[in-house]
Amino acid sequence: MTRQGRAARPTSSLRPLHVVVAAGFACAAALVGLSVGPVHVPVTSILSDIRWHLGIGGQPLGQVDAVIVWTLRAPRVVLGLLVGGTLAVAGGSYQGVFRNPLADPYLLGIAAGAGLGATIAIVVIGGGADTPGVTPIFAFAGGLVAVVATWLVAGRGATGPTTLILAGIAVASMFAAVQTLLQQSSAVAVTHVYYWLLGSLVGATWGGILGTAPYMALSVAVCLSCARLLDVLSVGELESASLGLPVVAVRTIVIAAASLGAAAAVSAAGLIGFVGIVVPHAVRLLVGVSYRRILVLSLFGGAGFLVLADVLARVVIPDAELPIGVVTAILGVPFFVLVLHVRKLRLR
Amino acid sequence: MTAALDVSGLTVRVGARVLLDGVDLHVEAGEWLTMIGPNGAGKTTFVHAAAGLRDIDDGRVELSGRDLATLKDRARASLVAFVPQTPVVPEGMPVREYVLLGRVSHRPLLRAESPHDRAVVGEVLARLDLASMADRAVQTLSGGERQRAVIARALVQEAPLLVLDEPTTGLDLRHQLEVLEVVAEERRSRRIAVVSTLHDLTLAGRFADRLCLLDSGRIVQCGTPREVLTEATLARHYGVEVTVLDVDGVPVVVPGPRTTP
Repeated sequence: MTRQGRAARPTSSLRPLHVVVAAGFACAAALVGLSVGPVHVPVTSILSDIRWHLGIGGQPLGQVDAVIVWTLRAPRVVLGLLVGGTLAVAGGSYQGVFRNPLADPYLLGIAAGAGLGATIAIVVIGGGADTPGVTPIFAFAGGLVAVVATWLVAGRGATGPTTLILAGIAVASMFAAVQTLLQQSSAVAVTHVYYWLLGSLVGATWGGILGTAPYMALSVAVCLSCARLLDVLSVGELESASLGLPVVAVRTIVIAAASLGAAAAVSAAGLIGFVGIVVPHAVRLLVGVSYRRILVLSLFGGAGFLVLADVLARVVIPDAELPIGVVTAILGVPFFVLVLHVRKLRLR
Repeated sequence: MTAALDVSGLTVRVGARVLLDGVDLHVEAGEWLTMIGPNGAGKTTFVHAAAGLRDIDDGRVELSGRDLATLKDRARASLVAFVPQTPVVPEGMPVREYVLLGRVSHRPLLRAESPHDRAVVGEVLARLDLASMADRAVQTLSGGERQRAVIARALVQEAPLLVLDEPTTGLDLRHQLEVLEVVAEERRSRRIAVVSTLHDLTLAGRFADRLCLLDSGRIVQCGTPREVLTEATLARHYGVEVTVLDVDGVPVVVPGPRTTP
């Protein structure tokens, strides 16, 4: 293939086939997530049970299998779909706003803020013990406080990428330092905070999902509706302003929406890395540079990716679980190296 | 008749430094005005201010009779289109989609492009001889083709004023002429006003109706190319001796003093 042919993309609009394939991937991952675990429940039996519930034939699962699939695994799978999809869309949106393919949803201090929030919950509220009902709320609040702090440190109206990124680094460092200080006061808390930081879908409940899903849904809806504007922003601040784009308003809205979603995702599942970088990158490599494609396909890709990572986290070590953040990192790092390598070859 | 661009008392400062100092200018529909001047004279600051892309400290800019300060982003973009000196080219974006970005001001922000938007883009691509490369990524085009794509993006804005900041930067002689011919043809056929900056004084004199010489943020002379491109004026403001020859009525600026045969 010629250099020109390889770099050319016939169109930037979203194709139905892409959506069908991506949604199919997420659905298949969800079925695998419901099926695989210490007790294997065949996918065909799950599909039959779904048909039975819908009143279109099929056979119900046995009582034990039904509890395993719908009570134990389904909340976890749904949370994985939500968190993975939200982190991927938030990461893709950040990459569009900052015009930087290495931007991730934690760029403006959300990870450090959520970490500090969770640490305050565990150390101050729980006295060193885990506080499952409180930690997510504090993590959510901490993440949002960090983004607001970053905004304030950058200066009012200063939404230029470099200033914000530097402010994010400063805020994250400060929050991380306070978190370390708090952790030092309680040796027991260190373990709980550590496990929380690694991220996990273990604690998924329908109640917890209902509490965070609206924020994630709002975030995804806003980011997707702004995808076209991110394409305009890709020509830079000056040129997009000359084309009639209200640059500061678009940046503010997208960053606020992506940050809200990332904070909600972190509060629900802890810090899960790489989904927000790797998934939009993979989508970009496969279907081109338009955010109209990247964000929609990242939603499904991130959802499916995180559910599959959770399946691996469950089955790699018999009778034990790996933290999902470890799995996404183990899968993500080699993939990331591959992405960079392919990118380098394309630019050569 | 309402001017495409009417600037009065335009002043821009950065700290204590005055970049533009009370600039007055008037550009009619169908007119091509080129700002010339030494580096740091304020040419780029002027075109950015005229296109509404930077804040001004004093004065007034009117686009087609409307005060720029009162215009929202999309309304402004429907009155002035801008071609930057060094365009940002998004990696992998096809030419057609790149040019389509110029239609943002013609629809509500979140709405998809209409068939009319695509038709306008198709027509401009054909006019600028870009139709055959519409599906190629912009970064794979040659310098001249790429600059034509940037101009196409500005033209689909269908604004009555086209502002170009050094549109021939980095192009060889053939492509410089090609790009400026494209602009000249659009101006002739659509009666759009053109405001540009150019370092090449001979090209500036060949294409523009009027030249304005900026020095230290002030307009020191405006007039036809033959009035402005004189050896004495250029020596005074550029600080070098030049020879100005007349070739078929077009002043040709040659660096260096006249040599006796």
